[in-house]
Amino acid sequence: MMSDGPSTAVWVLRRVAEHPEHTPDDLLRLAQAYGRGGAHREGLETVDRVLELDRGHLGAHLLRINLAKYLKDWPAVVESADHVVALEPRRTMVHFAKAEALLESGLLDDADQALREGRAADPSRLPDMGLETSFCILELRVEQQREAADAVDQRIAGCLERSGSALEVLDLAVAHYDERGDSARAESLLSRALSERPVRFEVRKRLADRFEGEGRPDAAFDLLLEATQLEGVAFQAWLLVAAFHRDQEDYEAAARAVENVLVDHDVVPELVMAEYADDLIRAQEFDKAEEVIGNIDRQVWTSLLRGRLLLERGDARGAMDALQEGIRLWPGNGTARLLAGRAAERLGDFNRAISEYRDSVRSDVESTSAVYELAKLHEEEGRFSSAYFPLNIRLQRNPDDGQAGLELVRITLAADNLAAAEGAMNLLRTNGKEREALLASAMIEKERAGPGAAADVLAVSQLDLSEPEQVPVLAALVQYLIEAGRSTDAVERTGEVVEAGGESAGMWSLRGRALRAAGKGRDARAAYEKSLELAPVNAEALSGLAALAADEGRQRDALDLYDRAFAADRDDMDAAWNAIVLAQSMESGKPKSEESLDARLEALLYAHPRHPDAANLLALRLLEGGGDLDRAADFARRAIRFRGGAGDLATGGRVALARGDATRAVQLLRRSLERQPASPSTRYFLGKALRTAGKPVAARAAIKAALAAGDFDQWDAASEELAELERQVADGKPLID
Amino acid sequence: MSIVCAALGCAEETEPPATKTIGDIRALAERDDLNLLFILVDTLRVDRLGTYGYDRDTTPNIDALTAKGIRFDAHVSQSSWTKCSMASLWTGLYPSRTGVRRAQHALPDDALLPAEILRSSGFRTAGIFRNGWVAANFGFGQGFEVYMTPTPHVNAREDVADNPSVVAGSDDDVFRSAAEFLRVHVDDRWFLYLHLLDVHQYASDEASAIFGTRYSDIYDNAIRWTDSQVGQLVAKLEQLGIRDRTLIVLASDHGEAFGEHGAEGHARDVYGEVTQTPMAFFLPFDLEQGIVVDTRSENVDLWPTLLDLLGLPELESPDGQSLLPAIHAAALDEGADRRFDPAFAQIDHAWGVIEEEEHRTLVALTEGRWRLIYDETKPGYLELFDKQTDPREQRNVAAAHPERTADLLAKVEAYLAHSEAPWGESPLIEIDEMQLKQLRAIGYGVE
Repeated sequence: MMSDGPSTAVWVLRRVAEHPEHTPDDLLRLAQAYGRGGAHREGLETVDRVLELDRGHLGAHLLRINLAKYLKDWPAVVESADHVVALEPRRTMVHFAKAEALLESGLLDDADQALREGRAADPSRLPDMGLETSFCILELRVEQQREAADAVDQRIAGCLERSGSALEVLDLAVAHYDERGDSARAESLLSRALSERPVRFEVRKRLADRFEGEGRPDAAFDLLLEATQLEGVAFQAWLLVAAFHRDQEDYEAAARAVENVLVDHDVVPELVMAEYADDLIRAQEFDKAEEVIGNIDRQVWTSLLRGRLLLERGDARGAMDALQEGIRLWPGNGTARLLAGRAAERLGDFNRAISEYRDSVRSDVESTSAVYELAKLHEEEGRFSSAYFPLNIRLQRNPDDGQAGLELVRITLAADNLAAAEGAMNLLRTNGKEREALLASAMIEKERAGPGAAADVLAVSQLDLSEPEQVPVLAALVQYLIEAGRSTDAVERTGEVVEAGGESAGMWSLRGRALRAAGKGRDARAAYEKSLELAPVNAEALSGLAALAADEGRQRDALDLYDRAFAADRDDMDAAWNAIVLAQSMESGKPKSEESLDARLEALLYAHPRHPDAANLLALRLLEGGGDLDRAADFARRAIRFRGGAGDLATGGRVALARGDATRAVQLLRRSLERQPASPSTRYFLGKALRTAGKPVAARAAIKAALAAGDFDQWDAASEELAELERQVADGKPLID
Repeated sequence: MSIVCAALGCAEETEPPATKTIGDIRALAERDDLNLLFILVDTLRVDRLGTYGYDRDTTPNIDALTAKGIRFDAHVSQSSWTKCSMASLWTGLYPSRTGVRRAQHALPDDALLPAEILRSSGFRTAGIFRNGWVAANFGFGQGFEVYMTPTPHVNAREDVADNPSVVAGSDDDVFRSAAEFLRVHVDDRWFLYLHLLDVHQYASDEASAIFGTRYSDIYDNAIRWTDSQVGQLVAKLEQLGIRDRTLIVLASDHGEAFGEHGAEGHARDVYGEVTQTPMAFFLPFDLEQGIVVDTRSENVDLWPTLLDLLGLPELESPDGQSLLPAIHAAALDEGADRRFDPAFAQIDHAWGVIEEEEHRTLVALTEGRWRLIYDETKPGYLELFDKQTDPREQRNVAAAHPERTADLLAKVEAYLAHSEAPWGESPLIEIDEMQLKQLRAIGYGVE
């Protein structure tokens, strides 16, 4: 019975306590059961019944102290504490409880006195019992409530002397000095504690976090790396180093750090191995990751890791299956749901993706990237109010998320909601996100007065654009200046930045972009090459060089550079699309290397499943090349959903016709013609679809209209189709719709 | 014999009926051996139960019980937030009168709660709950001899024991404790209140996890798990031989949103998905044919109805009213008694912001086929839905029905003006850090 817990035992204990011959101990057992079951009020009432029978019952008073504490019945705590210490004055904990109750009652002098009595009650046991820290903290609270700053200082000094090794005391002291603005002293406390015991990882971590918070990541890293040289603690130290690299999103370095652990240890916790496998996947070391996953037993981890691995390897179906198994075991895992959303997109199931992204937001609204994925997806569907929603939720829960604020401004502008954009910008400013607010302000100004005005907003800012963290501002400035036809200004500004010491790859790439726009190809190349020197895996510089090569007619080089850019950054969909356009132009007039172009399209659509140009082109190629019509329909649907232009609708109509769905074909082709009436080709296909749908009169009219509009690719076929219809009439078979 | 014949006294059969009739429902008030088991399933939206037409088999046990009991088909709760909703449920007062609309609000000792009436009428009273918003310090323990949270035993699903999103324990702990209560009190007359939380927590066991992995699916899994536990508890009553003297009531405090109006979860607004909840009575006997009450009912009606059914004293000037006439009318297939007076649901947008003093009230008024949503934070903006043509409340037709909208708005204003509780001001409670932690652990954003 007791194994089921006190809340189950309480019923039978009540029965016993109701018996006329019940004893104080029967009641005490019931009171204990109440207390353990969280029924503190009932427990206190029952323990009071014990004391009615036996006023001096020590066990009852001890239990009463605990129950009354839960109920914040401070007089009851003090009363029972006095009873206990009268009987057993050496009970240090009881003195402590009394002091706490007096403090909560605002009786500071009495609390102080109780603390002194507690310290004196049994001083020999204090250190053993680990109560010193608790006493220190309570003593400090007394002085804080007295608002006696000097006394607080003295108490802290005393506490540090007596129990400075206790982390709680150290934290309290650090917080105290930070609050007083004496961060140097706070830092020196941590440094001293660490120098006294260099193997204390909690202290080392606190100090490293402090350095990072102060914008000193190198100092933080050095501090962590130093610990790897300490004897006996290398294991934990390397894990801290790995965690540091993860925070910096350098997963390759994180994996190498973990490998230092694996060299010396045969047995490593599965959680470490799971994190290592995750690092390997993110570092694109797939085979090694697979091997590590194979040695992990816990199913939930293997499912989730395998899901991520398969997704990265291009197996969206396998990824989805594995992720679903992982989510079944861990429903609240926001990352797993984010990955499931991505897998669903790659399978072309966008409704499922929306559902998974929403669930990811629900699981982890404060940090999941699903917020952006969902907003972008809805925006591309043209559903702006749905796009705002996840961003709004994020900002409610995490107002410091500058990216979400900026996205909200961008999307509200795209929806022509200037007032909402201004509201979001003001929110950024209110929350101290100055850089994002400035960028938002420029976006709004561009909408109002054009890119030149937007550039002016950024140009007059007080930000030092040579600082690496200001690259996004410089990028926006360069872009606006180019759009405004002021490329020379862009060259000048980027020149000032690099002369002022701006040595980041991003800045040199932006300079390259400005120079190229200004027609200074040679200088642009030099800038891009400088950027690559600083960061060899650099999509923007590679894309820039590719564009220069294309400008110069070096198509093969351009293609190679675009491919390298896309490989360097799978988010750079422009590089992939430019490569496709280039490859297509290189194909024209030559024997088609369709496999290569289709593979490029597939790769782009795997990375960016909503890319409407790629989706439309691949649908057309599958249709015209006799490929898989179901897949063609899938891609055509994507292009329609995420752009819905005349060409997309026409492709969709043609695919539907080829699949035998003439009704849908007619519907889509008509919608296409509404957007682009002067397309004889689309009109011809409409005629063909109408004929298939059993409407020969309308078909004949459509084909005639197409032929009347002039030459087009399917002119011969259209003529033949019309001829057939006319022959039918001539044969005495009237056309009837 | 049909229910209609039984009620009208036209029975001529010589064989005694195998099942009971409407007359036996009336006779319940005369019985002095009747126990009351009140099962409150936290966060249960009405359209996810099989008995209410859901196409998934989420509630086979509840469906079977309802088939021979009483089901209320047009039921609404008074809020989408547990504490506000439960204060109304227990007192029979709308939120405008309970005074319990914010995190720190509590029911005062002066409030008369049903457990007090039952206890003074000779019932042994016990409440077992897992949602911190109905804790004793908010005034909900009044009248209960024992009012407690069960000791966490094991997680319902051991395979998710490491899942940080799962809070300690499960409703299994509630049912274990309840089963022991029944065993010990088998010969007593009792009132047992079980407030279940696994649906709120989306927790289920392996056997119930059959509907998929999306949140909406997992929610259904949790309902199925809870249903299985309800089935086991009813079996326990039968095993102890007390099913025939136990009236079981099933209700919920609010529903759950899955993005129907943008939001997920609850305690954010008062649309149908978060305020339309089930209510069902499983009588101590089977009816030949279950009664479906399709006239509108509310959680504030629950206790006026139960006290009427049990022949016990009434609550203090409740807004709710006994549904016994409606039950009788439904049993007799009479539509005349249908009620068209308004029903209200309410939430204060700022319920979780302890420091904020300003109220930001949101009210839903249901009257006949219409539902008006009034949001104090959006002056001049009202939403009107025609539930007959738009049950999911997706098309705001306020502009098309200005007179109707104005009429309903006037009723909302009158509702908000009528804010006096029978016991005066509600006290403010200090919520300590531990309680805040517990509330945050189950997903509430208390600031």
